[in-house]
Amino acid sequence: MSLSENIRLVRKKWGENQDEFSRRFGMTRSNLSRIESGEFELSVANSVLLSKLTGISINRLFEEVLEEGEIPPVPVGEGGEKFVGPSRVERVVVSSDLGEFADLRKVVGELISLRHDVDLLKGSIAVLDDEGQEKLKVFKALQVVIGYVEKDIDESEYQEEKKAYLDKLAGILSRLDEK
Amino acid sequence: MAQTNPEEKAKSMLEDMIKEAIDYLLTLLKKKKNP
Repeated sequence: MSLSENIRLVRKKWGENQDEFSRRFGMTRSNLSRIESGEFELSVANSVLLSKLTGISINRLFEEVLEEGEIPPVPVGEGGEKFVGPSRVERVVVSSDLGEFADLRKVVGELISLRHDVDLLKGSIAVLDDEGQEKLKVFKALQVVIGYVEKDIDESEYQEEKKAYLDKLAGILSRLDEK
Repeated sequence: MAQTNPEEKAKSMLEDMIKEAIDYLLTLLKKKKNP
């Protein structure tokens, strides 16, 4: 399928190995490898992220294999450094997404369900004042750190704790329904 | 007394979520140290 091939083409053009490229999406290297081979599908959220990073429409990414000239150079920061991890991806996405509005429930719900894809959600910070935005950033940063630490531990070892954690977040979220 | 200001409510929720995230992170870090 075109998308899996296009992911590989973008990664090659950007001069990254699978380990480096997978970090942009908060996924493991092995998952990226399976996505590139067509065994797994890229999530909708990560498809959006890929589209934002490359400036290539999602339809185009899915439709057919990209021409070499269509793929932009690797995004770079203000100092000319290459974007590598989620925090840098986040800057790219934030800059294009600010101004969009979403309510807190959507933000948090997506944070929980998408976990590593928190970078996509930033338009929604607009719902909060400065202090609230700072808190949301702290929570988001924690999620990113959690994602990194989880990668170093066998999933079976933290499954129960993760479920308990998500249940607690869901409990806190349910306060949105209280009058 | 229940909070009625949505913004204050959201901030209070975020504070609680941050606490839970820190607790979970600490749990993970312990597991990482003691595989």
